[in-house]
Amino acid sequence: MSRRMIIFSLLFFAIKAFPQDSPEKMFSMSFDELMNLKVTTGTKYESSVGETHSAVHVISANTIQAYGIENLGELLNLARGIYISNDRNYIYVGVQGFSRPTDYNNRVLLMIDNHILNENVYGSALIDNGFGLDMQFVDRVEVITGPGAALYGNGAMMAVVNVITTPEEKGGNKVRLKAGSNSTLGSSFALSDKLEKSSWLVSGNIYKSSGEDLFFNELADQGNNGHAVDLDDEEVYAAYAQYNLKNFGIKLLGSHRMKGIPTGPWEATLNKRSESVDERAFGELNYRRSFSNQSVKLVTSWDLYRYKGEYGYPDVDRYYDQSVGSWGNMQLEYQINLNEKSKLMSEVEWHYSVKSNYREKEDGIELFYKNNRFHNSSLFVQYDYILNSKLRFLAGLRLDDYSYTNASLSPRISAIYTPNDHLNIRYSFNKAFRAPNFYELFYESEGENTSNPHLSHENIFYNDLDIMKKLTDNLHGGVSFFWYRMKKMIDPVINPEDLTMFINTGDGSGKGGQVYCEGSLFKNLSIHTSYTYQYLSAFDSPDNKSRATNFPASMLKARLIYYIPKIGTLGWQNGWESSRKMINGNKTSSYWMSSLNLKTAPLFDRLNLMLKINNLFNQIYYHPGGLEHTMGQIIQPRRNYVFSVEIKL
Amino acid sequence: MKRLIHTAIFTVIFQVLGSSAFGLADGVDEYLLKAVFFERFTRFVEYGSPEPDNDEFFVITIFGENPFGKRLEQVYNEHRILNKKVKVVYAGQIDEIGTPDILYIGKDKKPELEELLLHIQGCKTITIADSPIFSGSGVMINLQVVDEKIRFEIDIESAARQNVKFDRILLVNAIIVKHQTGK
Repeated sequence: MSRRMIIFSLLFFAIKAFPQDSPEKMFSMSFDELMNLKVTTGTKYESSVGETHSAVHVISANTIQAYGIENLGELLNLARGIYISNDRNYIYVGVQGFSRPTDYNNRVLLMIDNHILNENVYGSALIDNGFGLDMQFVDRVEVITGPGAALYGNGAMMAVVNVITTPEEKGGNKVRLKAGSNSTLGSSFALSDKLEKSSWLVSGNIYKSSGEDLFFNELADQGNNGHAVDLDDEEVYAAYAQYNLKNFGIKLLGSHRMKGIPTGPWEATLNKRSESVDERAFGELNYRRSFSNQSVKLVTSWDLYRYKGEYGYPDVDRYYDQSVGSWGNMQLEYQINLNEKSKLMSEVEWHYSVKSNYREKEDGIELFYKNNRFHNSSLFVQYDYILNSKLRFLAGLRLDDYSYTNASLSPRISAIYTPNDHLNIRYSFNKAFRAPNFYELFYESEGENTSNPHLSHENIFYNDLDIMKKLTDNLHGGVSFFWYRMKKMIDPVINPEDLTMFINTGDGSGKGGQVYCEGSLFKNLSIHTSYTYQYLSAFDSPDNKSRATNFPASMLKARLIYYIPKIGTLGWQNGWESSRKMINGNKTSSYWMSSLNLKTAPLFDRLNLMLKINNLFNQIYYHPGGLEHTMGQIIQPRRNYVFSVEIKL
Repeated sequence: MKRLIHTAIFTVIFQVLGSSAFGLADGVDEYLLKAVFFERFTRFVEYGSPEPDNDEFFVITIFGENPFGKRLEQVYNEHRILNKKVKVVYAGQIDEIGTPDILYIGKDKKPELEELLLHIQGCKTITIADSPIFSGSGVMINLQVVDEKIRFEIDIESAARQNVKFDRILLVNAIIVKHQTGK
């Protein structure tokens, strides 16, 4: 190597290594130059659902703790326009009037730290305790109501929910012990640290409850005179870990949930035990790198899912059904800031399902088995443009191509207009789709179900207008409207041969609006109130005028957080909803629900006590059941208590 | 010519190997840069209230844990913000905060955040934090380090509640979040 080469290189290096961190030099830099300076720490975290340039509703750890939220379903029920149904096996979320009984939440996309949790057999997302992690330890939950298929593809039809956990530098090590009504016991922990170049987090949760003993008049012929005794129990074990080192990250999750089923679905007897077990695991490896105005992210992952349902029948020793899912995913995302006003994001994604199967066995005889091995690939682009300080646009388009069904295009446009400090107007249009899943396409059982391999995608065309106004310094309110059309919705029906099958039922339309007001009325008191009106027409209705099942036309939500200085936080949730139509054509009764939570201020700097009372006034109320239930409506949990102690380590 | 090409290739390899991507960081001090960002943010802020501000000092208050050490004093000994001398104040209790121009909230004060935000409501104070635990919690600007660079979240609604509006140049570079609004 010549001396000239060495000198030249050293000189070049010396110029590059010249300290940039004198304040004088930094003050002389432009904003973009400051943004591009590298700092001497490798810590980073991902902060949004993926829509970093759009408004995302964030439910913070503060709110979760103030209301003593125990599971994701409870959390989503805080949000306006969202309601839940509990069939005592799973909790289902309804959004803007849409919730098909027993759809396993396959029209809602659920993620943990941006990793999709919906599985590849039913498309289900567990928003009950089956989600696994203790909600008290999550950093925040980001919720987008409305479709997100232009970004996330299949299944992001009605909402996108992202649960974020974040390693903390100090004070992040916690243990929580809880006990409550119905022999509920639980313990959970979260340990984390942030070092100079790395960060890590480990979280675990164990939960057990014996549930309630119930009586169903309609099940008098299904054994035990309609009494479901010791059949409502639940067990959850879950662990989650993430480790980040410089540009690399790894995530691991494993969860197991067993739920006793006390409702005698599919004519199961109450004399024998019925239960469902859902297990979920994944491992993800990611790499991200930023250049001056560009960034690249590469994610590769493998996911596993296992379901097993045992159902008790009078003349059968053992009947169960089982599904296994196993699939890999690879995605490459690229973002570029084209200039001060515009950004472009694009992604290619490839998915390969090795297993997506269903098995049914009775007394050792296999009644049904089929595996659907498939792959799909996707591509999306999104462009964000700021016209001026008042007007901003976004457009996106995603293409999903499947090996076993049609391709789908999902476009999206939105505009935000902010004429002044007090007013914000937002309009968006989204098209989203859901590909038929294995269960809907292929499942058959003699005398009960028949398959329909000719199912095609269902699609939604969704419009959303939100007008928000600042009312006073501390209070804002607004109105929002939505209207959508669902085409070729996939729903189970009883065919002329008296067999259950999934078909593209037809078109339906939903519409509604919300009025809301939130903020602080006076010091230490914050309120959130909203009224929602929504209507969804039935999908098999020729004139689109008859009403679909399972939505309340009216919902009123009022909740408050009161900070009691030096004592703690009081969170009071109230909600009223009107009747919902059941599958049998009858209606549930309207009901008012209230819950109260008191969390103490830290005792001895490291101890918090929490008492939560669910169903404060011990209301008797019902949610509609699905086709598998003999009864049209299912009684909901009565008043119950959860007491917990959180210890900061 | 051949030698020049070799020199160029060698230089590029040397530079790449010397870059932070391979562990030999050549970055600036994180908190020094964050201190500079404080001043830069004020250039892109409009206050809702039209009354002129006659205070002699631009006050930065550090509430709780102070990761800056003496960097704020180091930076603002020589530099002004909005043409005012800068005074750095440290507070441990909410009632010691007063009405600063910028309030940095330490991570240890997260449990007191709601009470704190109520305390300064309408005071035109820019609230800044730098931890993921503050994301979407009502702090106006939450600084992050992403891929070794400073990025920031802006909570427009919280800013509006404080009568503060951010210029689009800031917004286009920000991650926009909303304080939990109940939707």
